[in-house]
Amino acid sequence: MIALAIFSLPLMLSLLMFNSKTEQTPRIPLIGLIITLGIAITGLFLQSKGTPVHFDLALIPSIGFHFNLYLDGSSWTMVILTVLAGIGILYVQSHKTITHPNRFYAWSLMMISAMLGAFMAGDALLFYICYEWALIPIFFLILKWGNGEHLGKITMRFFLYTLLGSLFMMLALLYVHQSMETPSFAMQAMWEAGNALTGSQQGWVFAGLFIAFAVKMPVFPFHSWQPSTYDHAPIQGTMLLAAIMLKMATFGLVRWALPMVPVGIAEHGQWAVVLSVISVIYASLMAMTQKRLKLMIAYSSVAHVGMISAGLLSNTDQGTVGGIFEMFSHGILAVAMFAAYEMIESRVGHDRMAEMGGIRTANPRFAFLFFILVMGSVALPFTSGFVGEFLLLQGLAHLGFGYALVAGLSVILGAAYMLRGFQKMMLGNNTIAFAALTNRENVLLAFSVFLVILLGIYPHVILQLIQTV
Amino acid sequence: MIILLISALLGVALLALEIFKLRAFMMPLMLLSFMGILAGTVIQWGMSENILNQNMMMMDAFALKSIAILTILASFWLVLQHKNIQATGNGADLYALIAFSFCGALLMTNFTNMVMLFLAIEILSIPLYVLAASNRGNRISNEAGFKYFLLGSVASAILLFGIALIYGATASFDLYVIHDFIAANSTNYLVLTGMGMILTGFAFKISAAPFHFWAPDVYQGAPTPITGWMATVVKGAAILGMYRLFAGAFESGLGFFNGAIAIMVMLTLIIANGMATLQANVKRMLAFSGVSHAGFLLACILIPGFNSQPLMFYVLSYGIASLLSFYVIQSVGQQIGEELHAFDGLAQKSPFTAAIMSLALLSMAGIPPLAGFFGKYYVISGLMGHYTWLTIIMILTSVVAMYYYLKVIFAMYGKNNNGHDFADGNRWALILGGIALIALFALSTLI
Repeated sequence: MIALAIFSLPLMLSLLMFNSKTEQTPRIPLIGLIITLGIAITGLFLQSKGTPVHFDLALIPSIGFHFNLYLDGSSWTMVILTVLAGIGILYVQSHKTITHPNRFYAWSLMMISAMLGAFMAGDALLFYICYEWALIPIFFLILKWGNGEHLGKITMRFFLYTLLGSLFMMLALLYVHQSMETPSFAMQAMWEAGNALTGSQQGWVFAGLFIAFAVKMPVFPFHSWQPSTYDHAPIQGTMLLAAIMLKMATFGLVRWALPMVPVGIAEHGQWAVVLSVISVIYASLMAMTQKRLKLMIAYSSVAHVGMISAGLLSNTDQGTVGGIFEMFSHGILAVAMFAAYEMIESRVGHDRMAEMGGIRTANPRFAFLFFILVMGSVALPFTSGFVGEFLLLQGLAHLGFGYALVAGLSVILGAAYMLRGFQKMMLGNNTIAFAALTNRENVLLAFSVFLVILLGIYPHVILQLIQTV
Repeated sequence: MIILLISALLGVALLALEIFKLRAFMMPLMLLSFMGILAGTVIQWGMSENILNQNMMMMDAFALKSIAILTILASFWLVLQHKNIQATGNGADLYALIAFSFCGALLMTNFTNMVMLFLAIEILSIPLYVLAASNRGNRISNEAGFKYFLLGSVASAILLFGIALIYGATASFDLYVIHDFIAANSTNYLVLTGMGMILTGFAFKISAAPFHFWAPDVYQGAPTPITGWMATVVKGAAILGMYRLFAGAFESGLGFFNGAIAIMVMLTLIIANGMATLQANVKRMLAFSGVSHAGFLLACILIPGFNSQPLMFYVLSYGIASLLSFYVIQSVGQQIGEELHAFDGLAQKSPFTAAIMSLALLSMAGIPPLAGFFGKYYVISGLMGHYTWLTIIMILTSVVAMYYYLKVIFAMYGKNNNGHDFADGNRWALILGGIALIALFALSTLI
């Protein structure tokens, strides 16, 4: 029941807000998400005491489709990340006034609810439905509240591209499903049916799944939708995409691909690892050439996700745990980095890094907090980024030392572009007006920095959570 | 039997009401009859299985389910469109013709004799020739009626020729005799030629490529309520009749045509979706989209075994979404226009209508958890493993379909208001349809 509450509270609130006549401030959705977080933590506590929190309702018994919400360590981690990041996303102060705030928050909550559903799904079809449905809210968020000239083209490309990818996932899931004697989409049954396939069949199923996930993550060469979408989406939309939505794809690897078709990945899945590693290097190089902060963060996100994907595909314990840890850490960092971008953009008026400089002299506190985020992003020890990347590289090294070596380059490249960006924006003798941070901005930045350091020094919090069943 | 009697007498009764100047009672009478038919299917459920009426028709499970689905679609059509029909001024004729074609649609689902099949098709089609041209002052509507009449007659003739050839080989019109004959001589060339001709005739009726050329012109030219009727009830009845014939009686000879049907499905999906992306007129675009759904409907025949559930669910889910979208096009077309830019900024003028239209389009595109997704799901999962290549084409073309549906959604939400006023119509019926699209999947096991 608790699982159902976590899923349906944001959804109900979203439907209410669609129909509300008075225009709302973010207070109500924020309170809703904080209550959701409370419920989630209570649920986690109850589950550790042995009370079941799962929810199961047969929707279409003849094909074995259940509305089944299932929570294990990795789901809990993602649920807590989603709600935390969601709170951050609604809390962030955008310098653009939001027209029709009701509908804006309603779509955001609906998206959060769909993603929560995907993270908790214990049924392959339910996962697919949530995975796909999350596209609709973000489509409207970008279309209605985005900025730029060619929004129509950009949203259309984003939507169709990711839809095309996920349809291949449906084919793959159906292929596994039709091989069963008694049809069922339940997690365990799907895993067993997948394992019963021959190696090359598993390879094809994996290909279908990975194309879907690769488009969403995105992994080179399926990334072309990403920079322009991130760029033109409203800041909250970019955060939803980068912090949570792409985690559905990496989580899909953990929950559905790895246990279902392990042989296929081991025997026929090398291309996916290669693509992921190429993606890491390619995105790092692209990030180096970017002149605008938002695009640099966008490409650095691609690099991190490529690393997560490569590490997960090693199918080792370190890879999986590291992957989930890095998903959490990247989620927090993505919210914080894009929030910092918004703070800079709203004060300076643009985000061209070369034309800034001297922010540190104008606002040393902001520069300091931003520096820690940058460090987290380049995976410096004692930040959350380090723990995740270390475990991922360790997992990857099991698969092939060469992969780890090449992917490890991204840490160096990351340091190069991140520090150069920091230097261009923050240091230097330019005199630049940079107003003091507002309370909301302070709270958001400080809290993210706190999490980044806490998880870097004491990663046990999340590592233990991941390993609880 | 009572079901068919109600549907047959309905048209006559409607004409009588017109004579006695009781027009106000027409819509209630129709709705009441439809409800009576629905109740009849429930009452007869499991009772009269395998009872033949003079070897002409049989109310088996397939027939009862099909009748229920067609009646639901017809009632929904009536609830949505009755104001538009009355507004034309010749509501009486239209209602009566609709009732006659509905009677033909019901006959399409329960024949056990080739003669009944041919009668059913003609009863279904002839009122439509008139209906398509019912906007008398409009040349395009006249053209649609005439085109439909000419091509439809040719198709009927081909179908009849096919029936004659099969009669020549088997010396019987009875489906059971034909079934046994084909099972024993599955390579009889007369039978196979006959089957091919019947397939051609039916492909024309459901507008599957390469026999689809009439559909866009007729759908666009006919008055929009009639287009809605043709694209849902009529097409549904035709494909259900085709399924009864091919997956039932012609089962053993079907293997010979599987490849041809699969290619027809592929062509339909590719041509119709490709053409739809090029249209600037939303009604014509939806006409092409309707043709593309015929591809999915036709593909149901390829699903091994006599499993009609995917087909029926698809007819129902596509029908409801299609009726909703044609209704919205009717209201927008009347108040602003049918071009894509008529939809610009509709969401600002009427968030409600825009939301319902988006829901209908997303359902037709197969976005979960809407009904259309489950419709496609059942078809694709039935074909998976047998025609995997076809499922991949289905998936690729659904992305194309999503593109042109998104164009409309984008116009409604992403463009600025074009300055025309717009008033929503029939709110409750639209809400009902919207709820149906969300909740229909729960009924998919009942079908």
